[in-house]
Amino acid sequence: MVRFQPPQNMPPLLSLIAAQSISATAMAAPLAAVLLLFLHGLLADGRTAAINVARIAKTLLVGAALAAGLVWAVGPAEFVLAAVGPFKLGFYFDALSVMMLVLVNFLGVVVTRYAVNYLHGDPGQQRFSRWLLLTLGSVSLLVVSPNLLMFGVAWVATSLSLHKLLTFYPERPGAMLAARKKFIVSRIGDVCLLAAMVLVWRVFGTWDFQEIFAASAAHHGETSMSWICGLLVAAALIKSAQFPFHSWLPDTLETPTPVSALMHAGIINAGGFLVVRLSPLITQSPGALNALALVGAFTALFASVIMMTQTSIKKSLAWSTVAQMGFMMLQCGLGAFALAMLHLVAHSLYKAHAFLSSGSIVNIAKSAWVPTGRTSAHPVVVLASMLVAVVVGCGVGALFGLRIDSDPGQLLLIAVFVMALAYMLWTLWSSSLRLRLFGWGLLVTVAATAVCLALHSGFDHLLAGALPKYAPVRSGLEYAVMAFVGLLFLGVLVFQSQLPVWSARPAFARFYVHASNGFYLGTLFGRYVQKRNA
Amino acid sequence: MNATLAPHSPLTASSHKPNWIHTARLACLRIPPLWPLNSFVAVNPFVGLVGKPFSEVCELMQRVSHESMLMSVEYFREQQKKCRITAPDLSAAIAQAKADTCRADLVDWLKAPDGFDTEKVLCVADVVNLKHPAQWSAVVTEEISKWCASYFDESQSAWRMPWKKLPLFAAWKQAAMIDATPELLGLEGFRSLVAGLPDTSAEAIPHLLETLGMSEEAAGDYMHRLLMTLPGWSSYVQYYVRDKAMHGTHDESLHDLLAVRLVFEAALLKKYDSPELRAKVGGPVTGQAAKGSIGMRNLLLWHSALEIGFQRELCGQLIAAAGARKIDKKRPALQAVFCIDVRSEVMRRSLESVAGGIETLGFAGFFGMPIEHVPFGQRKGTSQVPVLFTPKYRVREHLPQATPVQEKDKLRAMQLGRRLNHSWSAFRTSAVSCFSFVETAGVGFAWKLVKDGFQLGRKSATHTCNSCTAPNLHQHKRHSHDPLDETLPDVGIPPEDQLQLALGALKNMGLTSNFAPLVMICGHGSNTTNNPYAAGLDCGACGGHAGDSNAKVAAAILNQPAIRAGLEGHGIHIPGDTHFIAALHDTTTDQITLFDTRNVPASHQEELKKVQGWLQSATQRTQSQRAESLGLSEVEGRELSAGVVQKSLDWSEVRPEWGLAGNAAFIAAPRERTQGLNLKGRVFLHNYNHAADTEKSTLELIMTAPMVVANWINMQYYASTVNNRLWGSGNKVTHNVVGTFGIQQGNGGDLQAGLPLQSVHDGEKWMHEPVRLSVFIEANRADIDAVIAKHESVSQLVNNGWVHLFAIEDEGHSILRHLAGGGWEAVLA
Repeated sequence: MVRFQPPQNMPPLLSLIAAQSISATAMAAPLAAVLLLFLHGLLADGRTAAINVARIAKTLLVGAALAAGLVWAVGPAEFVLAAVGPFKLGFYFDALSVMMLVLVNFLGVVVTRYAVNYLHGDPGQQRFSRWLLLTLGSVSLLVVSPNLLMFGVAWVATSLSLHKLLTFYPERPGAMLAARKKFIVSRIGDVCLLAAMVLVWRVFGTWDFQEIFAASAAHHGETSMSWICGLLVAAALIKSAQFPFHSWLPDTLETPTPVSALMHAGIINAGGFLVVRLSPLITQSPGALNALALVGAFTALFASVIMMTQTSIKKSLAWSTVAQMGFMMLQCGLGAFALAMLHLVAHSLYKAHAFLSSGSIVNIAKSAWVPTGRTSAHPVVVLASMLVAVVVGCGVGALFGLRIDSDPGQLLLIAVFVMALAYMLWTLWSSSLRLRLFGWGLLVTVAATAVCLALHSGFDHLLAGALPKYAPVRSGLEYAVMAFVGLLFLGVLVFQSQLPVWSARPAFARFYVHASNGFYLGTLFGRYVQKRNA
Repeated sequence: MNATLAPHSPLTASSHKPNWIHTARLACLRIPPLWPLNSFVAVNPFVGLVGKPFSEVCELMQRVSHESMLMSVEYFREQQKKCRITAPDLSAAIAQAKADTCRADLVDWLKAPDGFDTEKVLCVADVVNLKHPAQWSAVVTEEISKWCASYFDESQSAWRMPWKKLPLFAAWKQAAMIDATPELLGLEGFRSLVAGLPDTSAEAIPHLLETLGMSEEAAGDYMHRLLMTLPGWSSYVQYYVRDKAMHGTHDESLHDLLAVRLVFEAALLKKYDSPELRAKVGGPVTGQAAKGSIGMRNLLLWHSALEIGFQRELCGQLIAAAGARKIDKKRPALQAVFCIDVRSEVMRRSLESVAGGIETLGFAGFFGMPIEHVPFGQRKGTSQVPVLFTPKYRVREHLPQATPVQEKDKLRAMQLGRRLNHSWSAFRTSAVSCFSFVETAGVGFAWKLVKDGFQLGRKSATHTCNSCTAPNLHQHKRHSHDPLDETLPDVGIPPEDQLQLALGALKNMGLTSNFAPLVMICGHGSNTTNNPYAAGLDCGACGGHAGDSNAKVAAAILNQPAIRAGLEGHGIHIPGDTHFIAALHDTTTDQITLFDTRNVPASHQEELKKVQGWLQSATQRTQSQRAESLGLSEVEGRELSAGVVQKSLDWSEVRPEWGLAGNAAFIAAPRERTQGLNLKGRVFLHNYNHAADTEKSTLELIMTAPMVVANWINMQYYASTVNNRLWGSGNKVTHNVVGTFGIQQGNGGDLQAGLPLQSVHDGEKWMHEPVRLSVFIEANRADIDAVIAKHESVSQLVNNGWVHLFAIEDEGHSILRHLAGGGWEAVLA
């Protein structure tokens, strides 16, 4: 079990490692090696460069695994490489940062390996590999940043090197337009982060995460704290493509598939990571958390309804990312940070695979079974699936120690899970309600619930040391927010299960057209960008 | 009259009512069909234009699509430098075209090319584009593409567009009256303009053309231009129309699409109307500009010289080999029938070289079995015939080793699996449950990333159990109530029809005597991972599917004693000890799988073992020949084999195999003519013995079916090479599968037709050489002429220069070239 320990109380071995002088030399050798590899990779041509980059990614993953091992063995550790006043370059390893580091570099290994053959023969393969590696490096630095300044620098560096990947084919007008959209949105996010940094300096006099966290409780309730949290939350929402800053994301498909995979799996969630990393600070402002929950929940449903109308695999995946980021933000807003991390990790792995294998959809569709003749759900089936889902969700939940008086935020998330189970059962049972299908439906739902809850407690356990124990006093406002969010989800569930009947109605037909256009936000933003450029 | 009157003269308009719909129909007929990805077969992109000479179509395309359908000047310079085009080739090209130029002029011209002054046919969007930075052409393409994608979407979106059942134009009208995008982009009043339109394209097209003030003469090319602004979607709609027609329904969807495109023209005209704009819309009329530019003529001559160079070499090879080889009439140990596909040429050569006594034959890869094949446990089948035909029989797979109860259990288990799969995918994709899906199953994708990223856990994707299922030739009552598809009765193949199929297949493949103890009928299929274009690498003669099911049906029919007895009555004696065995040539890995080996009689077991050994050697020999093109020239033996298999399993591989790249000729002759020649996988080989073909029915079949299919394939590769942007699918790395049936680039836009860039280019050079198909047939010229005279479609291909036709005479000692318009001329080797 890894728990965060303030540096001054570190075990002797660790304080030894953390000591500045020793760490600098200890780190110099591997760093120099990586740098050499890096240069070697950049100098080679085309495919060789891509192969080198794939090798470097593997090396980085090994490094990330070692860091994880270190945290597991001795607990969190901070390495300072260089420090000039508040400008401190270092690594901070705790359960949270190594989890992200391993994730990002695992995706890095898969994606760089994929790019070797995928871009083989492209005249820009060397350039591509270079920026891919820089992007990967920037994200890695971002997740291990021990202070807000380094975090901010890595944050901007990630965005800029990603920009180079998004404009990999400058001859495509669509690619350039999307990249410009993203550029503008990212700079707005940067401004928020920068403003937050300035305020943090003024309030705390430091950018060091641990020092800020230690002092944050003392500033509880101050206006400046609300500003800081508000700005950080805004930066996170903007970075993670939340409404109304989402419309650039579905337009960035003019870039090679591995970039989409890395962006949707490893970069877009930087906003979520910001919130979780700074959760000890952000939890000081219930207002910021409520805003997170509301914007997140709205984005989740808004984007997933649009996703349902999309006709191409990559657009569907892109809208799904917007929605999933929304859900993660909702979890953060409810204070379920460990859950949000589970969501972040699981989504990254799922989405990376979905993008990289998106060419298989033709084959999958060929052999897929599509129910015929189903027009609407029989009320009995709907009721039965709802009932079974509630029983399974609560039953298995009870085994995992969930009580009715658990945190209402937790209960809301369980309710969403129960609705999902109900939807699955409904699709299974409405085609034919035979005994065998009934049994299989039960089995699948119980198994799914058990797996999901086991993962929940696993992540709770893993991250317990790195995250604040957040047990907020909920006021009426929070309850109202949660009830509203729950009702939103229920509304979408009802809507989707009645879609076969309702979709022909004029009002829904109109809604369909607007939804399939993403409610025109992308069009309007695109037009603005074009006019600005013209 | 037309020449003297101005196109916009009110006289023309009032004196007679133009038949706009007829003109629209003619424009639509110029568009080729585009098959969906799951049965992606090659199409000649100029199939609607073969009634015109090749050179004229080059000119027409320049006018209408504003794009070239010949290689660039740089390409020909390079060919000249490499001596791929020689001086005699150029002289021959000039002589053949009777062109008024000389070699020196052509060579000079290539250094400083000029004379490209073709006038373009412009639509309103084109003209507006010239002046306004808003790029309306792109907007119009984007808007129509977006809409087409929702109308034709097969199973991508969970929320389908509500007007799918309406005709295309009516459905579009419903959506366009709601969609605010055009107005937000600056086309004010678009929705009310749409609301004021008639409900059918038959009414809307004349109305819109008159609004635009189009003259009847210019309207044809103008509408062709409009369709060519959306070449992908137009072609897909053409496929849709064609598919409906093959099932007996008339469909106007392509007219509807044209009408939709016209509405945007009218809207743009309304916004930017001016006399100058109106004067520019339309353009030169077909016939007036047909003389062509000097630049085009010269480029065509260079192109012909490239083709002549290829023909010279091939003719030289054929004549040098003439009479050198006589296949001895001893009974062979193995006869292997392959598809005519160019990839079979390499395999056949390798197999023949492994041991003596191996005879190979080439025949259309569906082996004359016009079936729809329904895999075990599936309801819908795949059409396993060349797309020129429709299947006649539905053949279902069954489990030959299982009892009826076991089979029923297996079916139920499969059905349960599919239902669970369906619910699981609903859990994954629905608006409410996708979040919970991620938390439940997302972490598991780490393993999938490792597995797929490092190709673990799978040695080969093909046929884990290759003899578990078999085609059931007999009636299959259990499924006959299926309401989904009633196009074919569920009767298997009646015994009397089986006899006819057997007879036709054997006669047309020229295998009527001297049967070997083992006759391998070898279909082919590709084996790639994560490749939307997989079907494009499969057997074109099987409608873009693997040919194993056809091979199994053919072998099953030919092994039946009753059929053999029936064949005796037609003079074909198959010895009692001859066994037919079905096989599949995996063209990606070059492995050959034999099916149903346990039914091979005990007496043949030893031969079977020997054959399996031969096949393995043939695989190795073929692999080493392909190694260089696959970038594996540095490895050999087992390592090479592993490398080739690796390509078929790698999800990031964009060039798993080269398909039919390089195809350039079609030879219908006995195998003696070509045996031992290294034809480099560039030639379709069809067995044909003209002496045995007394009624010339086989000749007629070859020229009307396999030759046409080969021409389609050849022109697909041709067009995807000369202009990959327009007729190909562009760069694979930004491909996006739309509606599970097509490809878009990146964010959307027009559907992509043809082959991806990576299928014809290796990153450094073109892997396909764009030459028109040279067809060589060993037969009497008079018989060939008779087929040309009888079939308009063949005559068009041959006389308009879409293929080059040659006759082989005197056992290969003499080759004659067919002249456009008739007549023959000897080829000097």
